[in-house]
Amino acid sequence: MTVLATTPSDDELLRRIIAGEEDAFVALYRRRSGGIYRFALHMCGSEAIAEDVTQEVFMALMRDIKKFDSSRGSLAAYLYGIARHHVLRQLARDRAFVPMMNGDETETSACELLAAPDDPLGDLTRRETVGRVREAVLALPAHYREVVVLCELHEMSYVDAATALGCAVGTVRSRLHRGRAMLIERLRAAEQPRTDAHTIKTARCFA
Amino acid sequence: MNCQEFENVVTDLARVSMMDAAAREDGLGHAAGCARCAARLADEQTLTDGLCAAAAVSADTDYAPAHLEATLRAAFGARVEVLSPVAHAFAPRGSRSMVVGAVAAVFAALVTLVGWNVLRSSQAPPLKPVAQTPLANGSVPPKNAIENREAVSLKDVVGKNSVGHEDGVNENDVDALQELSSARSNLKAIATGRHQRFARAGLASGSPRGESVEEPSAAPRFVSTSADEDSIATEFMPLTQGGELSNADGGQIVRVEMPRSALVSFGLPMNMERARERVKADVVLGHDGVARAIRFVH
Repeated sequence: MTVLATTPSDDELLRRIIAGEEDAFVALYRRRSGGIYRFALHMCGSEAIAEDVTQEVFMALMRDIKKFDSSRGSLAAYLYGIARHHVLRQLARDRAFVPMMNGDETETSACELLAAPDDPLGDLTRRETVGRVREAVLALPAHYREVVVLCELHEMSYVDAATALGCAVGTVRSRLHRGRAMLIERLRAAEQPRTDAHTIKTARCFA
Repeated sequence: MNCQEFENVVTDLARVSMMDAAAREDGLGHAAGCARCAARLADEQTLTDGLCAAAAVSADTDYAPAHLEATLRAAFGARVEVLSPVAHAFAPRGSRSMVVGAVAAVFAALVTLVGWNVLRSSQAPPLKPVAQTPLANGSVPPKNAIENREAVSLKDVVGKNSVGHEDGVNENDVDALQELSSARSNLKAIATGRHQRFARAGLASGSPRGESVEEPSAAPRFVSTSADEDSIATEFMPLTQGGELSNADGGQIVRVEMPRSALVSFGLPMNMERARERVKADVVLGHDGVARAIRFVH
């Protein structure tokens, strides 16, 4: 006789959380915290902010757990909606500040960009690709960025993304289409300076 | 399918998401025959690959720090501890309606108490303005409190002394309470008869406070004295030059008899047929022997 271990659903965990079971809260946290943290990280590019947002999301869940209505959407969409609210508030707060770039970091980034064409494999490494994509995503406007992050990086369906963002499914589709087009443009634009730099470098060598 | 229609489905083609099979075939067919759309599709597929790689790397490396879980667990435990006593306190009593009923009962009791106080204060006769005789130690005798002791309530005294806060309580309330306490002391002294002489003027123990001196009424009225419940007396009428009762440094009250015709000089009615009779009066004498005020006793 085989006993199948069943994973409790989000609704079941919620009921147990309301009853005061800490284990249920921990289980739900471990199930959902990674996605929330990564969403905030992809939206802000800051681990500190991502940590704060994650904490705020689960504190809000703890505080207003009875406000969640499963008939209106999934728990994941609900949590992402809370995270989005905190992220946008954080972005609005930090909009007035200009990040101070470290000279070493700038130099390293330039070296990486210049080193790529000199790669004997002639292709981007996986790490470079990921880095460039992340930079391009972070450069998107917020309302395009959140759709790209949810639908592409978190593989969320259009419906859940629409629930989390509080908009129509068609809006999600159109924003995703436009956001992807902007990403392609930015990645292509990022590729162009590398080609130019390679040319300049080659010229210097000849000089 | 033309290029415009291809643009509408290129994202779904690149993401390999669920879409209509016929639309997929048409889109791929169009890309095979259109170099521009084929390049567009290739860019989209490259982007999809990059995004998938970024998602995979992020899923492997980006996690919420471990201390965050500990913090939230502690917060959850604290929240449960806070909420539990409340739940346990109401749980044995059964239904929620009992709690609501208890709260309603307390509220009804409070409303009844407040309403009874308001009704009681509204039924109490207003405090009549009466003249107050200067005391020997410079304080105002609580004569009104003595003569209308049934009418004097805490609210009356407080309301009288509170400026702009009839129902409120401010620093004057303390004074009012002290004044009321003084009045009660006077009543006690009168009852024992130890200070009968001063008690008639409300000077028995002397109020420690009472800075204000009210003007005597223009038409003196008779009120019953406390010392002798059968006799009635007018209010004290000032005899000083200014016509006001000033806070004398001291003095005493002397019961005298004088011709009834003296009532006329104070504006009191007099029966001419009884002009020869004598009337009793209390005269307040200062230390200098000068009469300060007078009241007639019948």
